[in-house]
Formats: sequence, C-alpha cells, structure tokens
Amino acid sequence: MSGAVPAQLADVTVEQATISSRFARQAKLFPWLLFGPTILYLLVLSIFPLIYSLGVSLYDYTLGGDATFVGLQNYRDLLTDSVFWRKTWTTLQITIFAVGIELALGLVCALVLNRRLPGIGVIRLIIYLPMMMSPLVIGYFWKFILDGSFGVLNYLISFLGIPPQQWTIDLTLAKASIVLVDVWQWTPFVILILLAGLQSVPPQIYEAATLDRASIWMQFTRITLPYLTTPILLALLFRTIDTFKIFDIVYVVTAGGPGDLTETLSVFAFYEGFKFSQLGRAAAISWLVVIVINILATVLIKLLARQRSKAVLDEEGAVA
Amino acid sequence: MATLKLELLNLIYGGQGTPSTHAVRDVDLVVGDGEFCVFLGPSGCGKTSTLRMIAGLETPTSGVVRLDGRVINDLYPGERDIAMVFQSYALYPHLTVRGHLELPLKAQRVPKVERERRVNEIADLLQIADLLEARPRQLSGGQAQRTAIGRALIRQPRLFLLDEPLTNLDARLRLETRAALKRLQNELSITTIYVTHDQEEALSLADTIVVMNDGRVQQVATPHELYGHPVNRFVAGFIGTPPMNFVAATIHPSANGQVDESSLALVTTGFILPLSAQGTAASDVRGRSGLVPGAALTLGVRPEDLIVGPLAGGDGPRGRVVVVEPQGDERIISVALTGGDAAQTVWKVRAPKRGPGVNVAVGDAVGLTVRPRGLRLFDKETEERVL
Amino acid sequence: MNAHQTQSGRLSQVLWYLPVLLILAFFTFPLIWIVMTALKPPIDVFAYPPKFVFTPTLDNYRRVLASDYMDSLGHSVIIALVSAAFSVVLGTLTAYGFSRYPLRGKDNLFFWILSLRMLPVIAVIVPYFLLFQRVGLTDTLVAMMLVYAVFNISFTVWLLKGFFDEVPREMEEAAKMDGYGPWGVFTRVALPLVIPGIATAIVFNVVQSINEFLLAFVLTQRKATTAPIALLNFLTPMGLDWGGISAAASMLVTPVIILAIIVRKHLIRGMSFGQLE
Repeated sequence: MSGAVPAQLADVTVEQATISSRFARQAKLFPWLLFGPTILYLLVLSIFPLIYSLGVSLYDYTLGGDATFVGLQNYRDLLTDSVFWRKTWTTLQITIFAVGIELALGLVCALVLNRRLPGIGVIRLIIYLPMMMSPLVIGYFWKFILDGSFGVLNYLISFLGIPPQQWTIDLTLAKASIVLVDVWQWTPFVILILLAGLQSVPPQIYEAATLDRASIWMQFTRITLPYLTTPILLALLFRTIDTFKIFDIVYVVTAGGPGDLTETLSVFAFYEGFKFSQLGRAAAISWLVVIVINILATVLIKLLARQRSKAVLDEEGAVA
Repeated sequence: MATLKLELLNLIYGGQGTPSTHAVRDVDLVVGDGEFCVFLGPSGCGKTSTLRMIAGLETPTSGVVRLDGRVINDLYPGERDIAMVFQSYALYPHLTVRGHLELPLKAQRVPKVERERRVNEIADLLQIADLLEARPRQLSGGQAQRTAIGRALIRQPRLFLLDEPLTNLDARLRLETRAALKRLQNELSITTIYVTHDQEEALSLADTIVVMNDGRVQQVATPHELYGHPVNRFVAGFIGTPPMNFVAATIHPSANGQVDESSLALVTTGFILPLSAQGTAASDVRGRSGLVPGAALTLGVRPEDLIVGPLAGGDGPRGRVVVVEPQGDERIISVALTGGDAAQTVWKVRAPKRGPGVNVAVGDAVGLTVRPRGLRLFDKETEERVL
Repeated sequence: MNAHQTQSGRLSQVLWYLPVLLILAFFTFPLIWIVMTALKPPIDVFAYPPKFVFTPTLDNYRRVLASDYMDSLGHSVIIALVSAAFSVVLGTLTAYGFSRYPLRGKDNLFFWILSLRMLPVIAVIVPYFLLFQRVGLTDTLVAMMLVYAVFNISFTVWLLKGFFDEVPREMEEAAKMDGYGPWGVFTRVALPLVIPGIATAIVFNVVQSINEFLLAFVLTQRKATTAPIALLNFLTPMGLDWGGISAAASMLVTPVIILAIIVRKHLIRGMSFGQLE
C-alpha cells in the first residue's frame, strides 16, 4: 500500500541493519552555512578592525609619518590631561540633560498620544519621522533655525520678549543647542517605545481597577508604571549610549565650538586623528569611549534582563 | 505491510544546567500491521514524546525504533515513510489546500500528471475537493483537519501518526470526525498510532490501547480487556466514566488465622464486605499473593457496579447522598460514605432512571450493594491488581 | 464614534486634540520650515524677520538637480541597496540559525547583540581608514558597501531572529514529515513566512546606510561621496547656500519618509534592534 519503496530499504537484507539518512549530510552542513559566512565576515570586518584599533592606540602614529611604539603612554597622557576630562564632562553633561529631557518629555507625550482619537495613527507616524532621518541632515536643519542672524527660532522667541541669541556660538547656550537638537530628533524614539509599553497593558486590568474605584493616580502608579519599567530601561539604554557617542549633530551645528566647548569625546577623537593626525591618540580616546560604554551597557543590560524576567512572571500571574 | 517495534525506548530532556526530565522510560511494544493503536494517558505521561520519537522529530536517548524490521533511528522524519497529523494541524498559511496536498509529492519528485491524479483522489475521499484553491485561514476547523489528514495520507505512508487531532474541535464535530476516522482507517487498512488523553475516544477507536503514565507503559490490551481486567490501579482509575471508586481496605483475618471462604471479608474503616457475597470463590482467593489477612489493599468498584438502595442494617457500605446529576436516561449519584475515615470518601453510582434508587434525593441516607464480580482489589504499595 | 457618547465625552475628545496638535507642531515644524526654505528665492532665505509668506520658486531645486549632488545621491542609493541586499542574505541565514539552533548562554548572547549596536563608529574609523588604504579601496563605493554591511548584518540578524521565532515549530515539523530536509524546510516554509521581516530589514538597512555620515566622511574623498557628505559642499561666496542645502536635504529625506511609512507596522521592531515588538 505504500508508494515507491526507497531504494535503500529494499536493498537491505540484514535484519539488524540501520539505514543512513539521505539528509544526514545536509543536516550536518546546514548550521555551517547559516553561521559560517556571517561570523567570518564579522570577524574580518569588525572584530579584527577593533583589535587593530587597540593596537594603533599603543603607538604614536602620525598619518604619513612614523609609528613608534609607546605602550600605554597615550592612555596615560589622556587620563592626566584636564582637557580630556573637560571634554568627558561635556559629553556627560550633554548626555544626562538630553536623556533626562527625552525621557520626561517622551513620557508626557506618550501619555498624551495614548488615546483613541481619529487620525491619531497618522499623527503618531508623522511624529516618528525625525528619528528616521539622518542626524547630519537634522543638524543642518537646526543650524539654520538656530542661526543668530536669520534663524527662525530667534524670531519666535521674540514674541516671548526674549532678545535674539547666538545659539551655537554663545558660551552658555552652545551645549543647550546640542541638547535641543538631540532632544528634538530622539524624543520620538522614546515616545515610540513608551507607547508600546503603554499599549501592552491589557485593558481588562484598567476596567477591573475602575470597578474597584481606583483613582487615576493610583491606576497610573500601580498599573501603568510597572508596565513601563522595561520600556523605560530600554529607552534609557539606547539613548544614553547613543548620546554619549554623539558626533554628527555636534560636527554640523557647532563643530565642537565655540572653541572646544561642545567637543564631545567622539568629536575630540575625530579631530585628534584627522585634524592633528594623531592617529594613536585618536584610537586611544576611542577605546576609552568603548570601555565607558561597555560599563554603562553592562549595568543597564543586567538591569534590563532582570526586569524582563520579572515582568514576564508578574504578567503570567496577573492575567491568568 | 507495516509493523512497528519499539525496543526499550528512552527519552531524557534537559541536563546541563536545566533539571532533566525522564519523559519516556523503557517503552517496549509492538504494533501490528493494519492495527489502530491508541496511546492513552494523562498529560505529561510520555505518549506524545514517544510518538515524536517514532516520527523522527525527537532523538531517543536510548532504544531502537524498527519499522518492518529495519532500524529507522537515523533517518530524517521525511525518509521514514511515516506521516503525521499534528494537534494544531500545522497548515502553511501561504499555501492553498492543493498546495498542501502537492507538497509531499513534490518532495518525492512525483511527476505532474500523477500528482494531479492523487490530489484529486484524496480530495474526493476526504470531501475537500471544492476547497482545493482555498487558503488555511478560510477553512473551518473540520476542513483544516481534513486537509492535514489529506496531506499526511497522500504519500501512502506505511505508518500514520495522529497527535490528539480531535482536541481542537467542538464536541459535536469531535464525535462525527471520530466515526469518520475509524471508517477511513478501516478502508485504508493503514497501521495507525493515535495519541489522546481522552479515554472515551480511545475506547471507541482503538484495536489496541497502550496506557501510559509517568513515562512508562502501564498496560497494552484491547479496550474490552482494559475495562474488565486493568492490570493496576492507575489503569483501573483512568478507564471508565465516571472513574472507578476507591477506598483503602484490609482482609479480615478469620477466626482460626486461615483464609476461609465463609468468613473472608474486606474491612474498610467504614464498612465490612464479606467476599463470599460477591460471588468470589475461595479458589479465586487462596494462594494469591497479597491476599493474606492484614494485607494493605485498595478496594475498587466501578460506578456502574454499584446499586443504591434503602439503608439496611448491618455493616455494608452506606452513606449520605450529596449530589444527584441527571444524565439523560441515568443519574449519577454521589454518596459520601459514612463511618470513620471513609467519611471523607465520596463514591459515585450510576443509577438507571427507572431502576433502584429512582427516588433518591440529596440528603438521603442510603446503602450500597456491590454487583457480583464487580469487585477489584489492588495492592496498596505496588498498585497491582490482585483480584 | 460611539453614539452613546455624552456631551462632555465628546468635548474631552476635542480638548485632547490641543496637546496632541501641539506636540505634532513641535516635531514637524523644522521639517516644514526647511521645505519652505527650499522653495524660497535666495533673498528670502536670509531675510530677517523670516518670511512666512513668499512666492515659491523651484530655483533651488533646479540648481541642485544640475549639480554634483545628484551623483552623490546616486552613490548613496547604490551603496545602500547593494549593501542591504548582501546583508539581508547573510543576516537572514544567521537569524534562522540563532532561532532554530539556540546556543548555550543566552544572556551572554543578549549582551553581544546589543554591544554591536553600541559600538562607537569612531573606534573603527582609524583601522578602516588604514586598512582600506592598504588594500587600495579608499574612496570606492565597494568600501562603503563592505563597511555598512557590518552593521546591517548584525541588525538583520537580530530583527529576523524575532520573526523566525514566531514561525511555529510544528509547521517546520510538518514540512519535515512531508519529506523535506533542513534546507527544504527553510526555503519552503520558514522563509516565505518571514517576508515582512525581510522587507523591514531591507528598508531599515537602506535608511541607515543613506543616513550615515562619519564613515563616509572619512573613507571617501571625491569619487564615492555620499549625499550627506555632499551637503557639506554647499558653499557660496556668501556662506552656506541654505536654499540649496534645504532643497538637497529635502530630497534626501523624502525617500526615507516614504520607506518609514512602508514599514510603519514594524517600526518599533526596527528601532529597538529587534528587542521589542
């Protein structure tokens, strides 16, 4: 009653014989096809360059000049240089302010946008556009808007009685400008993530809470916030790291100025390498950035992982 | 021609940091050609794992799977000439019904003309011929299932496996499909293994039932034999609706310390049951290990072997009615046994509507009689049946 | 809207529009302003107080279309498409691998995933520069394709893994029973079911490549410049040609907007590197 008997089965006469599979070889080679090319590619083009960069950082290397091995001298120079620490502080300031504002503003906006109004889907989509655009292009947008002579921002604030400002050149305002641009571009990202968190709350929980006569505030703190913990941590993770690395916006809007007041570490490394041709130092700065980011990331990711498993357990219990 | 032999099959999950589960223990059995064999047991008993090992979707930790004498352990699932219907049907959203039926044939490189013929043939057989261009999301539960069955059978496999195929259907459809499946299997005479936790399904479909629990095979027998001669307490309690009633019991020693037919009785903390009254001959009892005075036993009686009657004097089983469930032309009466520990035990009785106990109501004190040959005894420790 | 809505209910609905539209205005104003600037004649571009009413002109666009910028734009597109295609092929395979052949130590994996996302470009700038110099690939389209593929592959892997995870295991098992080996199962069942994921990956890869600046800035000079780099060259004797820049920038941003709209359903998966849905 069966169809064509596979040739192997027909041939075997010994009772104990085990037939080998046609697909056995394919099954063995398959994982290699899946992982092999990618791992090879990434090894050559990402791990290797990173290690190479580490190597360069141990040299005093000028472009077109000689490379002399100096061991950890570059690092020692940087870590004892007040200029380096000043720029680290600048980077930290910008990061903390930008991320803080993004989270706060993002949360408020997400709460406002979490309604079922006609057309809200389109509105949300439009709001998400800034984060999809090139940071360089956005830097240019704002450079134009923030211009001291013909920028429209000065025009708009004149209605509030504030005199025109030199946003990108003023000593006190330059950093604020960077923060402003970053906030404008990336708050939508925070909104996106937080909205996803807000909408993951099963509506029955709110309904049950309303039946239990819970106040709006209670509903927010007891129901909404716990569901927001993972999204907030995720947004915090991505934004902190991304802003710490910031380059494009700074380069276009202030070029690190006035002077080197808004030079973030990435810009600093770039100038060291390609303006002053100190490739060794540039590599060293980059690696210090990598180390800081790794520490930040490890802490945040551990928090995130713990929160995720906790959230899964809570959810299973709550919506049985 | 397909006989399946499982030799000491074992499956252990986990290990290396995660707690390991010994899902299948030393499963050893034979399924004959054309047989409809049902693997029956509660969730987690290992029946599905065993099925998946037969299919080739799991690799046994140890043991051998033989199809028609040949060891198939190393074959990829598609090479074993076995077909399977999954519990969720596992239909491909991006293919039409025709696409599903053709897929296995394409894998075997069956030429187009022959393919068409077989697709139409099986579509007619399963009455899905008018659905050939439909996609899974347009199909009803029953239609989806027939498509899954068609996809399996179109290959004319030696072995046909089904993993709880009726669970996702509503009750009415389940009964209809059950009958249709039985008919189909009969017509095709294909060796079939069917996994389910529903013992009613098993009893109605199977030629042979393999009862499993906790990874082990408990008993392999025909439905009739399973019902009448369960090999242990688990099988006895699993087969039959409502399940068999149990209570702890011991054998009452006779006056002279000998097992004597006239005075042999079972003693529970609530009542005494003389064995002779049950039509149990002394010859049945004498010499059986485990049936010594004082032995710890479990007494079992099926609901259909109990008769509800007015409270008679004496030491027989008696109690108070707690629930009466009308079930069409019979009633299921739950009686809480009185006396000692047995006070916690609730026994269920199946009483025909027009028979004894017809006027029984909740709260009534009643006495119970055990039908002749309705008694089962199990060793308390090993749980094997001793009578 | 619900017919039973009360007067106050409807009113509160309308009131909510106020903050919503405020937020919308804040996030769209710069974009609108730039488009307006692109349509302004040169004198109006630099006017202060800025003009909100003006006679639009396509001069800026004509200028841009006739300039070298179009070459750069073309480079950006080619680099983006080729890099995306290559990355998606490799990335999808590996994503399937991670989905069906789970590795031990999942937390370490999680960390490695995100660590690639967090790499500061500046750390690889110098080695790439030196390496490509040695191989003679400076200022080539190929170099940019290779470099962008690194990030694109990682992204694709983590995005597609989520999609593959959603393909029910039983479906693949059914395909195995139907007689297919691992490759057949992959191509006939798994792959067709993740097409939305592949489309999303391609879109995000293209967008990320088009938007990238630093690597292109360092690794290209004249022959292989990409659009963002070309924007830096919009200089007139009077300073930056804002009219031209606005026109050029709006041309760069438009395809990105269109692509974003296409993948709106999977926007969050893409932006969170496959971590959220």
